[in-house]
Amino acid sequence: MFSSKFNKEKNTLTIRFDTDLLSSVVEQNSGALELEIGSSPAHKELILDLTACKMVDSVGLNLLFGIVHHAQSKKVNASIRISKGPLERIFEVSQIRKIAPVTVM
Amino acid sequence: MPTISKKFTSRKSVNRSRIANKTKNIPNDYFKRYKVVETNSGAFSEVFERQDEPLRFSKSQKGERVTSILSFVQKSVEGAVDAVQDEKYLRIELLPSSFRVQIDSLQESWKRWIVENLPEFDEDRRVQILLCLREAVQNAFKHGCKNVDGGWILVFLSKKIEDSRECLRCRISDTGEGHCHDIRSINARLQQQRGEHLGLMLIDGLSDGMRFYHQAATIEFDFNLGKN
Repeated sequence: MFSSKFNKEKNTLTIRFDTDLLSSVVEQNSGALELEIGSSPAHKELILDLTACKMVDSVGLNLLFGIVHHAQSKKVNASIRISKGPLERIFEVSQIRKIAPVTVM
Repeated sequence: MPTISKKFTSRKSVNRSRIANKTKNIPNDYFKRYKVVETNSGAFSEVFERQDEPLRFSKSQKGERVTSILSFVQKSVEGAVDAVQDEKYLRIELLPSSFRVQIDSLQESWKRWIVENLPEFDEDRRVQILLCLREAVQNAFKHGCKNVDGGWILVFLSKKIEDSRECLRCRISDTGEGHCHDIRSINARLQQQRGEHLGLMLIDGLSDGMRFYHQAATIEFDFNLGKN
């Protein structure tokens, strides 16, 4: 579902999601994701890379909301990357841009 | 009107008297126009074909047969009766609540169907339709059927002309008691910030119109054809 990469120079943790963030996937992997972020080295910036995703449902969006809120509570800047396509409209409707910057790659 | 794929039309038809015996509540001539075009032992039991349009029937995992789509519709989705009798319908799918764990398979079958029958929609729009269907059906499983076996969900897709515009109309009904939604209320917007009703907000925002019936046991939303 995801892979992570820590950039020591930029003090940035990037979480890359390999599959669509749908309820069936999220429910099986949210624990592992929480563990991954929690056990990563301290970082100032968190990038959620969804450029490989085409669909994110409400459960996936809730996961993103949760990660962003958690990061912000730890004074970590969270941002989201998506590809041009259907996710643009989905993210617009979900208003996730209100809590984290979304970059269309 | 879209045509059904050749793989369907080439399948063996079934003994109609067997169907008639199990569907005594249906008007005699109702099933004469149908034949089974696909039979699976897996998730979906039988796909029926009416003229050039597909009609899907499903079994529960215990093998219990849906005796009639019409009686279900008449009993639980009274507003849909006229639509069912409307010749413009495209696809009717009955899902037992035990199918809630198969949402990905359902989504894949909807995708195949849309690609085949509604090529007017590009990929972006198709993803939006699939997402709305997924959210609506998951809501029906979760809230309508309370995530337990024994309930039923009707997925009804039709092509409608409204105000001289053609649209895909999606109607999802469940056998639950329903609960009222005022999606545009300020409270709903505030709740959305905490992740509540996010599925409904997506349907409202992505579709070209959303309505509730039967205390929200039925949700209906449209996608205009030709708009991408």
